[in-house]
Amino acid sequence: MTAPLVRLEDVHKAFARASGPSWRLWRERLRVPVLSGVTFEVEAGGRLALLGANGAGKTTVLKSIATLLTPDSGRVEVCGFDAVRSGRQVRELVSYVLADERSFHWRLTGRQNLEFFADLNGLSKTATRQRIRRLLDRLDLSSAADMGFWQYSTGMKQRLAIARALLVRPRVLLMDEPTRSIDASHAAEAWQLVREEIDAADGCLVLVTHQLQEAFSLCSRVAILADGRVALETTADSLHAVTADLDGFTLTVRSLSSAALAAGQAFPGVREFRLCSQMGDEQVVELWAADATFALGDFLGKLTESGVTVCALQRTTPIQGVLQRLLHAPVPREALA
Amino acid sequence: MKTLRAFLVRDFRVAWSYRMSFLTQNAGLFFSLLSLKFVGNLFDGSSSPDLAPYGGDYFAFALVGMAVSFLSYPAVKSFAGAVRGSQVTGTFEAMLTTRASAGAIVFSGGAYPILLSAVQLVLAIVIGLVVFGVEVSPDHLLMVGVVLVLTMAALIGLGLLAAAFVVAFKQPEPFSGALLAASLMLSGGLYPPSVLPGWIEAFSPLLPLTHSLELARQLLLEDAARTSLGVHFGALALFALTVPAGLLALRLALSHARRAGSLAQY
Repeated sequence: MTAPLVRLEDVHKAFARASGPSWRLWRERLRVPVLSGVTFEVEAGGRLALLGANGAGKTTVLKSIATLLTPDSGRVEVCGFDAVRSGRQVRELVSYVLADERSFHWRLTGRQNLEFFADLNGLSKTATRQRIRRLLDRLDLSSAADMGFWQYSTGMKQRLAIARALLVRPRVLLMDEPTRSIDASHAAEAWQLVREEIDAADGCLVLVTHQLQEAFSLCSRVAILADGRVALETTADSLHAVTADLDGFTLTVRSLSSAALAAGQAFPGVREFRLCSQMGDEQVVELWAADATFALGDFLGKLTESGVTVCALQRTTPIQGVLQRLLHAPVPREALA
Repeated sequence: MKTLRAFLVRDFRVAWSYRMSFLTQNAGLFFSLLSLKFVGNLFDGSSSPDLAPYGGDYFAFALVGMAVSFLSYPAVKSFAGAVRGSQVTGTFEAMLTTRASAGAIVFSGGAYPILLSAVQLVLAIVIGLVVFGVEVSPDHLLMVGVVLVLTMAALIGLGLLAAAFVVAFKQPEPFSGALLAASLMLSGGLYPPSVLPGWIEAFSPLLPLTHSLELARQLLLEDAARTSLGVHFGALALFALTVPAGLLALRLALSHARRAGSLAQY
């Protein structure tokens, strides 16, 4: 069995809620746990997607691997090196695509920015020139290479961040929502490049994303973070099978009765129709349906006939739905009037 | 060295992108020296007992004072400024994920302004020599070099302490400004400390720049008296011990920021 390239074992991390009184006991009480025992491994060739709601701790996990954060307890290892004690060795193996698009020098050109980071990574002049040319070409940035970074669009900045992370061919590539502003064709090309680079380095990828399709197409495994832990770790294929034919909606309604809820649940094609929360006289309801057999218009008509006022309807992105379905219990039906 | 080169190239490129400012900087130096020359003309012919140990020429006295003082501001301020600047622009975390060590990143981040000030120091002396006819002794140039290295070490140590404060507390540090203001008043950049009231003058040996200026003048100015050189060298060497203290403080501050998750916060 091959040793994992990345291994997290029972990692805990809490942050101070805000700057406050400095005596230690009080500060401890103000600490908010973000990671409460995260454990996972990624082997060579592995591509793991980290999913989770905002604030679930995904970026905290990446920063712990990249040595930007020290866990309160637990162990983070990269190729057997402890990320806290052997930070330098770990940084030689890891590259990190930060979510922050500001992480470049705005007065420099794209090429000059890459040259700067190549120097910090100790690349030779020849290697720098070759890598930059290849990466800019593959990421369709060659024509913009000598433009000032301040002239770049958000998508171009993100592609440049990917290029920066790939300057050194890393064993461990960490990516934090790297394609959220990149158009589909450029994203596809970027992913192809990432696959090639990981394969060439016999490396691995840990990807944070909110785009389920991206996770499915790029990653072999998926881990869902919730309440500071890995709530679910499975193969991308099996999670895809669960979500493939689902269509999700979030409805804000008034006057939802138990009878109306039961009628909704019995409607053809509905997989799940459940109350999520109640605020004043409004209820938020989640609807999951098999997209092949479900007629939304008829469903809304039926709901209105049973005395329910539909105030708002919003399509749920699959990731939200998957997380809610997997991680949150519905409000009991007894809560309804 | 590669890290240092990367930062020097980066900062030169950024400075060059503001060409007008880059080019007018040195013109400003010339006009500052010209002003000092006119002030010096006021004292021409009068014999001040406070200037006598330095040869009696006020312009030569002030020229050395100004040139050496050039070093103090960037040496004390630039590391903290570089850290804070990179936190604000969002590049600090990106740099810390590279293979360069955190210490090298902070040190190299502040190197360009120091190098620039060293160039201005030399330029000021050359202008003083060539344009204004100041007489400089060539006999002790090597020792002047040692003085400047020790001065840099003493001030860089304080600069690293200031940078550690920025990393640890996520806010501009207040100490270097106070130190520079005190140095301006007490160290004798534009007047000898001996003109200060006795109880204020007593504080001037507590500042590294006082010893640097004293040594630089005694060694450079043709007619200056050379006294207590060993004392001043010893004092500067003591101040230079702040370098390991600064490096240690920076290491502890980075470790604290990694635990607190505040590396990128400002």
